[in-house]
Amino acid sequence: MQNSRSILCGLCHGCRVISQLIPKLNQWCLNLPFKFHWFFVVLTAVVIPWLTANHPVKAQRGEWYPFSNFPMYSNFEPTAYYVYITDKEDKPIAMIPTFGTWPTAVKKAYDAKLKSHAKTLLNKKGKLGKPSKDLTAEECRPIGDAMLKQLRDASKFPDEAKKHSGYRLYQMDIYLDNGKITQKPKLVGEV
Amino acid sequence: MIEKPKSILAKIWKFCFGFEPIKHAWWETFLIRCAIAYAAWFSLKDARSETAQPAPHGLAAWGVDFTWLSDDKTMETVVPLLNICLLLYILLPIASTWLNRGDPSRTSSVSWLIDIAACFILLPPFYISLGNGTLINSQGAMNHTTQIVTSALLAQWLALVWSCYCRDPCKLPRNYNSQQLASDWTRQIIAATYVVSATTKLLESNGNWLADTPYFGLQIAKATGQAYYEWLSPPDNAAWLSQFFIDHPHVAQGIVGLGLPLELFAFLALYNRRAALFFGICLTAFHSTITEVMHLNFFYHKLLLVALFVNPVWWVITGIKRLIAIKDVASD
Repeated sequence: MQNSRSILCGLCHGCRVISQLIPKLNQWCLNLPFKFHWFFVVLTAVVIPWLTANHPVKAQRGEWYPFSNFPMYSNFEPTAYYVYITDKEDKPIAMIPTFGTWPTAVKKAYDAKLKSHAKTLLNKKGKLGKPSKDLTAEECRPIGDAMLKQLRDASKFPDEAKKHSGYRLYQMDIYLDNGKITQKPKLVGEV
Repeated sequence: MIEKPKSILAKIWKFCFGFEPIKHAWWETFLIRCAIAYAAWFSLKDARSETAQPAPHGLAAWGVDFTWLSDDKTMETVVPLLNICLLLYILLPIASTWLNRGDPSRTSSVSWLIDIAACFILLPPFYISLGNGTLINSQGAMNHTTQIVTSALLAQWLALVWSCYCRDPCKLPRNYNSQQLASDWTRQIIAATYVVSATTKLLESNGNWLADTPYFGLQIAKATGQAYYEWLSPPDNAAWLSQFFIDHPHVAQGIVGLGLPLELFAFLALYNRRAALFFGICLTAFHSTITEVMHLNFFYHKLLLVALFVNPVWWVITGIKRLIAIKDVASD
């Protein structure tokens, strides 16, 4: 009896606090300068990330063009990598005049596909979902081959893309070795 | 009642962030429209190279097909129409200013009709810009190059729609006219992009952002490598910084860390022209540094920051006016 009375009192007190808070909150919102600005901050930082939280591609979460909560360089990790393309003799190929695209765009697309692919592989514990950083060159191969094929077939400059008999895709891993920045390439695709 | 004398700190705060609505002159809004129209034209003047939407994003995920933006023949028709729209978008409000030069109340209905026309004229560039960005982002990788241009067009369009809806300029915030409101909302949406970016940065790194900044050196090494494989020309950038940041972590934290408060407090730039100038210059310098080190262009960001925040022409003209006034007082 005593307990239920105290709960009831607590509820009443809570309701009173909320009823006092609502007009204050309303007044605060009315007085808030730059409502248009804060509306877009909430929309971009809260609403869109919430609506896109279950998107299968991680990079697309929080994104709905032109709204984006993308924080450039938000996570500085002790490893990084980029990709580059060579011909069959391992001579580097300039990506813009050959494929009409940038190495950054190729890397982003490759990275997104690699992460999806890694989810289908078994990790050290024998469970599904291997970290994409731990993939061997062989495990990256299906993605690298597909990327190269897509680049060659969808090139903005098909005549340039046909000049070479074949291509190789390399992943250049960047990491720290005794405090020194070290770079090591690995072959991840060939067509 | 005797007013309490304000402390020096309160005076400094008022000077820096005291709220003074930025009421642009007609020629300022004209220059701002020129900058936005130029950014829109520059980003949309060519047919896209992406011919499909393999990873539909945004409107494309809802089934809207934007691949027509890669069709050369279609774009041969679309681009001249787009140019006409952008030209009218720049020039139409001048007609409104010219009509209002005598008695503003007499021609207010004409101004209202001009605003309605401007709403319709701005819709195609906004839609094409939206489609352009959506098509680029539907390739499986996210790209934020033109995001600021589409956002600026959206803010301009929403402000014009709101002005038309209110009709009476007295109902608009702070007694702005439609063009002043459009510039204000564009500034607000640009500031929002920076605030959101900084907030997510803090959340995603679990607060470790500053501690991990020395690893930024690896990102510089990555950007240098990527820049080389664009055209196979050795990049003339600050590649030496990569190892320097690893060797001197506190310097890295100091330099890279400066960007975070600048983005997080970008909304303070909305308070007055001085704050806008400060944040405009700092953010432009921030982008220019990234361009130098990381080979990321940020052309649209810099252009719109200069036009909307730095607003150099206003400062030059105000400076000259002040000098003339001082000279006149001295000669009297």
